[in-house]
Amino acid sequence: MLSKINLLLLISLLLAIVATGWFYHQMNNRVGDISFNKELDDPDFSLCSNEYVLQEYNSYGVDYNGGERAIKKQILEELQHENIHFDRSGLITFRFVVNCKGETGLFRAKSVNDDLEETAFDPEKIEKLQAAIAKLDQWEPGEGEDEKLNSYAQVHFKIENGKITDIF
Amino acid sequence: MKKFFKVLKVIVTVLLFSYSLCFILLMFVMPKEERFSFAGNMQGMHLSQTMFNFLTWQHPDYAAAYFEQSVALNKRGKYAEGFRLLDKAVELDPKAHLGYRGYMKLRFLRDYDNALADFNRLDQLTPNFVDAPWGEDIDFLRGEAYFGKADFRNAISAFSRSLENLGEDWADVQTFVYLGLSEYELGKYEKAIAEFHRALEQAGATPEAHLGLAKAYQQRDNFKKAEEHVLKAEENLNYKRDDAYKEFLNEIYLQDILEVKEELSRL
Repeated sequence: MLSKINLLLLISLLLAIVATGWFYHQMNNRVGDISFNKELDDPDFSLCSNEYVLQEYNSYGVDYNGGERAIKKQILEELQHENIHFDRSGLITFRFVVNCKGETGLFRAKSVNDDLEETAFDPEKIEKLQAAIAKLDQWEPGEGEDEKLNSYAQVHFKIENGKITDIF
Repeated sequence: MKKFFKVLKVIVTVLLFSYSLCFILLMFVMPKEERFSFAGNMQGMHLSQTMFNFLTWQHPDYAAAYFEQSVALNKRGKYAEGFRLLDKAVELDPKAHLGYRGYMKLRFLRDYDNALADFNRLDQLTPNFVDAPWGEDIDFLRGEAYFGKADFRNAISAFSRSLENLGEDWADVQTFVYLGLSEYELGKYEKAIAEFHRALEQAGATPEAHLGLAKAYQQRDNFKKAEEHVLKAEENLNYKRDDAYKEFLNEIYLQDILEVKEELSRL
């Protein structure tokens, strides 16, 4: 049978372990982090070096040669040519990782309607948009002091009256 | 010896409880302003989001906490969650947060109509005061929104008001660039040239103004001047306006310059 003091010591120790574990988890996970999902992701895509991924707005982060306008120029015409029609208006946001070699993977799409509420567009059409982004090959990876780095990137598709009207 | 171990156990127990108590103080008890500041500095961490959740649970009218919590979510493309929080901040304190919401709709979502609606509502709430959402003149931002809508006449009116608000010497040099671009889009090339020159009077190395001049002079068949300015645009490209978050509507790239150079070389 534990004495009172031993019981209190045990409880305080367990509490401290739980608090430390919870705090560690809270400090080491970031909003929007994307981890590999074998159901969704290409097994050939890999992160480089320490697997840290810079945020898309980090000034050392990834760029696309020619900027968002070049992305739009490269894929809008092709997508319009395919005559993809959506059943609603809104904004489709792809967030993904560009690794240190300029390769893309870990794509995740989120969509909102005109009232900025979460909505779901046809998954087949989302796949077509993702395939178009995956073809982009002019990424300039993020760069640290002496090495290229992994970065998050975003591409938005603005849908108005069922059609893609802007990509940025 | 037995007594020594008993005392040691008491000390360790007290220390361990105190350690756990620190987390409770941090999450629930410290003054809300201090917790707000701590969570704000941890922007993007799960800890920050959890602290804001506790703060708004304890203080449901804390508008600034909803606003601050929304920032990381919107930056990372989680707009449904981010704008739900930002809308709450606006509902509680519209004067403080409408401007930022308009700015986000303009720059992050390119939702020009709703950005204008927010800027206009803010303007109505603050009569006889020139607002500066997220540090930029409200009429400059309204001008950008009209420019995005390809409503160039209203863009010119808004950018001109921005010059009145700030004075020509203090206005953002891009105000003149946008005025030039809007005139160019309306086919008024001489006026466009005059506006681009006003930009260069304020900052001679503005590459957007040089590129605008190259295109406008090209339209006026003044190819010598067009060539001169396209070279200056290229030479000063390092001074271009850019932002780590989003591409500006009038942002220029080397490709844009090379395209104009190529067109000129074919003439």
